[in-house]
Amino acid sequence: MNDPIHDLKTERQNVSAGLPPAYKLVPAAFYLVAAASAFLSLYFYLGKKTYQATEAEMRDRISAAQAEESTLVASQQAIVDESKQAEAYAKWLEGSHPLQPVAVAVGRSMSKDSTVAALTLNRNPEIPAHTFLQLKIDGGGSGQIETTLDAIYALDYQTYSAQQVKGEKSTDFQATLIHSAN
Amino acid sequence: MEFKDIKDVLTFAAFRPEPDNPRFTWQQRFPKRKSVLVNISRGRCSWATINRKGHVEDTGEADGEFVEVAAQMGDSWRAATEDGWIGISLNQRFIIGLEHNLSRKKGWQEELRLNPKSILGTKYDRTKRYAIHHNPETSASLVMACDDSMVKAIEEAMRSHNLRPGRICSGLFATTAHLLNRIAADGALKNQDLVVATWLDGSLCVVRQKGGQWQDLRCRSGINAGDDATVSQMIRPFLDKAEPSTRVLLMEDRKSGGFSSSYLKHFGNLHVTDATEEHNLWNFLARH
Repeated sequence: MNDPIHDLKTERQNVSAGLPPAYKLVPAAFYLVAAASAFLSLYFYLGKKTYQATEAEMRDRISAAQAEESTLVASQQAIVDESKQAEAYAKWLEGSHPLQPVAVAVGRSMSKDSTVAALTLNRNPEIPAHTFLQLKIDGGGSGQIETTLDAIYALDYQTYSAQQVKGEKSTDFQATLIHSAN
Repeated sequence: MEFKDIKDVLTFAAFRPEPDNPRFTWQQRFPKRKSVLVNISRGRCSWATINRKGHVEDTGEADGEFVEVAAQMGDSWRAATEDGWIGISLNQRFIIGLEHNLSRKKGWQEELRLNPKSILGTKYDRTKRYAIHHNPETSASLVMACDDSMVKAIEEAMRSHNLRPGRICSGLFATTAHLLNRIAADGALKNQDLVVATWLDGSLCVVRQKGGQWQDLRCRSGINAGDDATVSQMIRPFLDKAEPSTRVLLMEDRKSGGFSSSYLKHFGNLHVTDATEEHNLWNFLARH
């Protein structure tokens, strides 16, 4: 069937019939990419917002945890300090335990005319086996000193660098005790 | 590449044919765009504005030659279009005739534009522009010839008012061809004895078709209102050869146009079928 319409006008050169329909994919792809970009931008923007909110929450939790940790560490340090103090007491008790028989032996060796005016037992920190004994006895004189040393010897201690100073009513004695097991 | 080219691709405008490409219909050239159609008769112009849906929105008419009317209406027409593109129906200084054995070789439409002599042979006149409508089943063809100077004068007048011709055609010839196409496509009609009459604002074309063959054709433009003598003179030969079974098929430029109200009586007792629709010419030009 013939086209009923004709055209009489002076025809212009290079009149375009339009681009091939297949090329419509180009602007379609453009709009698709633009829409995808907008969607992804929104998606990443919301993701960033969520991340920032989570990060802030995590920072708060970290701060709370650090504060709690500091409290716990302080409490732990207090316990550790107390424990060290207790250990020091325990060591002291443990360290003084071998010297108790010496103090008991000195006390029991006193005769009825003699009394212990002063008794000092010092362990040398550098040489724990050496115990420096200072004894002041009122009455009894040298005999009492001999009796007391015998009682100490009976505990398997030996004396070194013994010095005895006899006063008018009292006798001062000092020596280094070493247990025979050492 | 300019920004406009990129914009045209992104708005898909680059995939549409240009508004003055004659190989595409008006609808394909102006999809969702406003346009104006103008019919130029002798001493009178009528026009219609076509909205973005392709429907007739408004019509108007004015007495005067096209140059005078365009001077008055140019701005309005331009405002009613997207880019000043206007479709012209030329309704004066043309003649339609019946010819036989014209070349129908492939691409004859293009050939008729570029080298009409190769199609028309000795009938070619260099001062004319031509349009042809072939009978699909016989060697007969309708040939329309209009003055080349007239077309150029219209183009010049439009240019001077910043208007651009999207198409210049003969509305009467196009309407006649359209009606003949409809008859050819209708199995019941095409073998009947028919007198096909088309009327467009003072122009009349009458074709006798019998047994699918175009036997006679008479055409005249610029018929004054109430010129019964001229119309009667044109119709008389068809009436003389008419048989009782002969039917008249009438198509006018608009419903209850000038012909049916003034000249229908000249067909006497023949059965007349009016195929005219509302805004017939404008709707036809806007669709095709």
